[in-house]
Amino acid sequence: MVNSSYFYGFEETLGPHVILSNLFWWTSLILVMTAYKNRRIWNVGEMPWAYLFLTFFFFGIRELGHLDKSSMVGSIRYVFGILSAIFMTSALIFIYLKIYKREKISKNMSFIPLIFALIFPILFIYLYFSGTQTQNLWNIFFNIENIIWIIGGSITIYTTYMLGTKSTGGFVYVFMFFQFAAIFAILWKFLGIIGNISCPIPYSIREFLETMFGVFAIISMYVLEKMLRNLSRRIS
Amino acid sequence: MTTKAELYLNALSELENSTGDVISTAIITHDGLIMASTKSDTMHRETFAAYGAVAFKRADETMEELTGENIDMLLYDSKTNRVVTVRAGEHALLIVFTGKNVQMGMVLMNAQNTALKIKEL
Repeated sequence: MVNSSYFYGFEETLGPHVILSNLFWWTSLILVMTAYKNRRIWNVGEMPWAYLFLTFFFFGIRELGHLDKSSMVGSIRYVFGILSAIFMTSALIFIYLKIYKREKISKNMSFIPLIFALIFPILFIYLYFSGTQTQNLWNIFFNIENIIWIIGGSITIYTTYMLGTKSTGGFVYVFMFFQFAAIFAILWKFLGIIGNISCPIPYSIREFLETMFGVFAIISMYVLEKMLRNLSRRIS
Repeated sequence: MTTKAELYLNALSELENSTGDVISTAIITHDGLIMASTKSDTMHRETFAAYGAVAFKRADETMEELTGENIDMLLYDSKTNRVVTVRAGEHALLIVFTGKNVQMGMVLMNAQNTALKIKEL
């Protein structure tokens, strides 16, 4: 007989973390938009701003997906998670290239993440129409999302670290909190992989890590927005 | 109505006109954000501001560690270029990036006068 208490907390639940995550990510999106209004003060180019917006927008949609527990919605949710990971990584790579490496980002180069991101919805549509079972679809995109977030998070840790060494004042906090967010994203996704491969990890632990990921993302955007808002007020 | 950013830009233009061989000037915050800057073809404005603020901060920390005081001006030069950073009030720094075809005394004097003007704005 299976001891059901063993599985307590292992299943995905619709708890406070869903409400908190949605709150954090959608508020972060508003912060990105208000910060964007002052982009002339921190002119890192149009694409990093666009990618930051897409990061928070797609992750917000991903979090909304928690409200439905069907495998189909779950798979679509993961596609949005993948897009969010790609755009967050790209935004910070571009900021790193512009400020730290002093490189000009060509138009062609700035569209690479967009083209890369397009692969996944196309793959999803292809698999769906080629008759892949919904549960398999869920598994495939769950694993892809885990891998993309782990790779993207690792790159983000590197770029934010390098940017942090060339920053001062509020920017140190912006990059530091982005780095914390990336660390929690990696841990969260790593436990997802482990749970899928061999040892089930209590979902409550992953919930906590996911929530912390959102907490640090919103803090970094808040610091950036506040810095730009204050300066805008001072020079107008 | 004239904005503060425009007044800052006027002060920078005056500094450039009166000094000569100035490649770029900027008024930045201690975070490395640009309050006003003149055009430069040699580098990105954001890089100029970020690196300028970091250099000043590190020098300030060094001075504070050694003497317990803050710095008001930082000067560093290479074979062909020179950078002067002057504290301009509580929130701002003035950075002047020049070539070597101008007397250092002239750069320092004009930079300090402009920093005073910025402080008063």
